[in-house]
Amino acid sequence: MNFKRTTIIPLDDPELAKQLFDAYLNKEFMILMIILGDTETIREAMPKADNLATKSYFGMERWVFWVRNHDILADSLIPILEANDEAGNLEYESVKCFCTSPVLDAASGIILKNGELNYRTLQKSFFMAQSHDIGLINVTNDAL
Amino acid sequence: MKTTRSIICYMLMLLSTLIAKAQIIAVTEIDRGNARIISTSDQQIIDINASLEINLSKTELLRQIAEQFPQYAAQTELESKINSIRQVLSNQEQILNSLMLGVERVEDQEQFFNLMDDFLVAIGNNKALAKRYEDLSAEYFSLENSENVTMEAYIFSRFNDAAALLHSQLKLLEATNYNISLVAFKKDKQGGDRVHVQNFDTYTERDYVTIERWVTSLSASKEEQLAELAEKAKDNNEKALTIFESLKSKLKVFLPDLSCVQAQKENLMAFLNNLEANSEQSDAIKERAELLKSDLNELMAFIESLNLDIRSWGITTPFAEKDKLLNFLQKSNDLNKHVDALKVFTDTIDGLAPQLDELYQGFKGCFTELKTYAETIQETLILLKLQQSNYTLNKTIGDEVQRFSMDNLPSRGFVNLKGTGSRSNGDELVLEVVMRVPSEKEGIPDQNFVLEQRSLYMQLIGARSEVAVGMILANPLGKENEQIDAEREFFYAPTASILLKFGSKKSYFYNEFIDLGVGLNFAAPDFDTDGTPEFGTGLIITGFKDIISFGINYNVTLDEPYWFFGVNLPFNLPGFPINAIKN
Repeated sequence: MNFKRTTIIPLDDPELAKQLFDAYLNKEFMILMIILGDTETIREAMPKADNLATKSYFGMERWVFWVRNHDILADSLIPILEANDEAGNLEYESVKCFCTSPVLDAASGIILKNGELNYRTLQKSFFMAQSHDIGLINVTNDAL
Repeated sequence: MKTTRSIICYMLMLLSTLIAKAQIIAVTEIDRGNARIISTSDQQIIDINASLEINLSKTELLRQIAEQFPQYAAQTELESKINSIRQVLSNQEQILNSLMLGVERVEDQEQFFNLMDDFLVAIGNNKALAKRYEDLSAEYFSLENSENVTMEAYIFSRFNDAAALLHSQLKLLEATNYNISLVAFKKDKQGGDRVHVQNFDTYTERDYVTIERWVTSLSASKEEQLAELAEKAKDNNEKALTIFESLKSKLKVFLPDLSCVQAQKENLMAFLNNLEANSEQSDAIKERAELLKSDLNELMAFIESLNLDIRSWGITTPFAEKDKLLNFLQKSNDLNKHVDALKVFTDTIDGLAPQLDELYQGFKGCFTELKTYAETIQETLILLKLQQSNYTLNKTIGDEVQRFSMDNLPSRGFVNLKGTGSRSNGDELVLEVVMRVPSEKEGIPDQNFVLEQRSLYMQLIGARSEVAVGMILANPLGKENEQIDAEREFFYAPTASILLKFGSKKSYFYNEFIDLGVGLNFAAPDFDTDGTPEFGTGLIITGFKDIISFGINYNVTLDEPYWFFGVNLPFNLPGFPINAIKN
């Protein structure tokens, strides 16, 4: 697969996986979409997520992380999901996709295993994450 | 465990959604700035001074037309598709403007994301559109110049093209032209009146009337009532009946007196008994007399049934009685003819003429009496019919009610209840969505089909005051006061009260029956029976539409406390001279 704005997290090197993830997570004004698992549905959805990541709304960048199993970044992802009010008491294993908001890195636009992964739901997930920090982005812009 | 509970909750929600029948009309009450959705599962009680926002669901409207009128299936299918696309694209201009202008303000960006969320949710709710969205998105990303084209603009334009194509197909279909109207009526004790719905008709509003929440003074008419009560403290004959009820009473008074018919029946029987002597002609006479007897029986049955029926008459029933009246007139005429025939026949028989003459005169007198009664009934029925006509005329759709096609049907209308003229608690507002199919022949009116009807009951919700006048029975507490007439336990006294009442938006039973009131009472008892009323004041509690009242007052003039009660029946009983409270 030839992706333009997607990083495929290596499964054989947890340290490298964490470093890659942290590097993107700490970037300001970037919405990260994390797709978890490696099923046929997910493989079909990856190009769609990658395509949508090429779009930018109001100057906000998008990036996709394909985390092909739930274990490799569990230590990093579980705290993000647990901290989020949207996630509630969700089981980490049941999450298929979510985005982190551009400033607070809060999990948003969560799609569960029984949810669809298509242009509509992925776009919705991106938008939800971007709108999560909307007030903060404008405050930051003013400060700059 | 939690997952199981969630699944059960989800299933229950799904079930309730399926059970709840979708509605075309959605009503939101706007009362002093507060909006409240009146769903069909709620009590249909609205504030008498509120404004209503009426939303029409085109999706549901089309579904119902397709369901009830299969002949329009092809047309409604196309219209439904167009409607779905139009619905999801309803905010396209705002979305595209935001993208093109690159809005920076928090509020504007927030609005953009909300509108996009609405768009994506709406797309997701329609399988066909959701599939089309996926195809269009894939198409968009396969464009060579996709970086230079806004994704939303690309998708919206393709959806617009689809709607235009469907429109042209609809035109090719040569669909039957039907229109939709929204009409509103007010139903009250006097009949009813049409109500103006903004965006849907060109009626002018009626007198602008705000039903006052706080009434603390007696109006001139109430003062007059109080004066009348004082004068007629022991003789209450007043009745407050509606026009319709008054006419009903009048009709009942003028119902034919059965004693005349009964008397003729007895005379006829006596005549037949005396007839035995003349056997030659008796069979022929008996045959004619039986006809008379049958006429009399039918008349009696009719009068008795009419008498019973009148009690149950409502504003929509008098027409049904028209045929009965004609029947009654016919029966009276038959009776007259049969009497004449009998007379002609018996005149030829010697010795019978004087005997029959008495009977004949009695019948003739009774016939004249019945005719007079019939005329009065007819006249009263005409008046009743006028009342009903007033009601039904308001129900007919006037030219002022606009017709809309699916394309230009407004999604929202407004009713300002204050602009509907005089109204009172319990009056009904009826909303109807009507499908109008024009007749193919000239001069024949449209066919109208009511697709949905909602009835809402107007009530002054929350606290309000009422001024009531009536009669009480007062019992002085102290027996030692020498100024008080010791021979009597209870004294009648006219009274006026300022009552605090509450209208409920949840209970018809409370509004229509319990209707508790609490307040100050002012009475004019005459404990010393010198003909000059004293002044008493205190607290009163009323219930059941002020029929029952109870309280404690202080006779300021004689320095004497007393308790009282009032049973203010809405009718009079012999020996129970207590007036009904007038509000």
